[in-house]
Amino acid sequence: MSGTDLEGDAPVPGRRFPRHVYTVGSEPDPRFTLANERTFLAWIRTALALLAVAGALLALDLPVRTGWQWCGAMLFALASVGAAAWAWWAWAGTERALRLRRPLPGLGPGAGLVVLVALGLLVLVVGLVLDEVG
Amino acid sequence: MTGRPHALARDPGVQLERTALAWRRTSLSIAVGAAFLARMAVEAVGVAGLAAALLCAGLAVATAVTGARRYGGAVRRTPDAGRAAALAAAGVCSLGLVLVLISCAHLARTVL
Repeated sequence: MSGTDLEGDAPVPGRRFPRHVYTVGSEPDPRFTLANERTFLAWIRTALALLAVAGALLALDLPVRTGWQWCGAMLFALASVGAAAWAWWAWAGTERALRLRRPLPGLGPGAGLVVLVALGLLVLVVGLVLDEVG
Repeated sequence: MTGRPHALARDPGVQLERTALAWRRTSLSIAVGAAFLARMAVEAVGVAGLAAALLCAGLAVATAVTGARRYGGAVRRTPDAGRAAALAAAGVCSLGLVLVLISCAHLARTVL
């Protein structure tokens, strides 16, 4: 039944973006595609949360030594850029793997995000201590 | 299309609804980000900050519309997230870059 349902208002496969995803393999179970999409959106929200941290560090007057505060803001802003880019990259990779019936790619660059966030927190703690010491 | 509903219409895992809600959640998060940027960026960077906030607000509307259009009535459609996803990712990426630049400028001013 799904064959007839997809006719008519279904997008033409060649017209879907990005082409390097939609021109390979065959249509996966739509539930998997939707789950992949929700994961993408969760990463976008993660990027927004990191963006909010960076913004707060830039906007608020905190008891952190100034240079360290700006440095922390920069690291969190970089992490947010990384999370947003990774959201897209991972979505495309997973969708391709689903279409080709291949094993899903690993978290890979997600580890870089962990390092950035940890580094940002470390910088803030050091800045906090330095400000306390005077 | 007035035929039988797609298999997903009776999906006990309510995948379509969950995905629609995820889009809505994301759109609201971006809207909050826009309000936040409007509040802080204007005094920090002036007109460029206002432009970033407006871009953010536009992105919130775009994601809300995407969520509503793709899942509101189009239960039968094959999901095609590509363009909206690229837009959201690129938008958030560029907002992040704006903040990277602002913090770099602050840092340079402090260190030099």
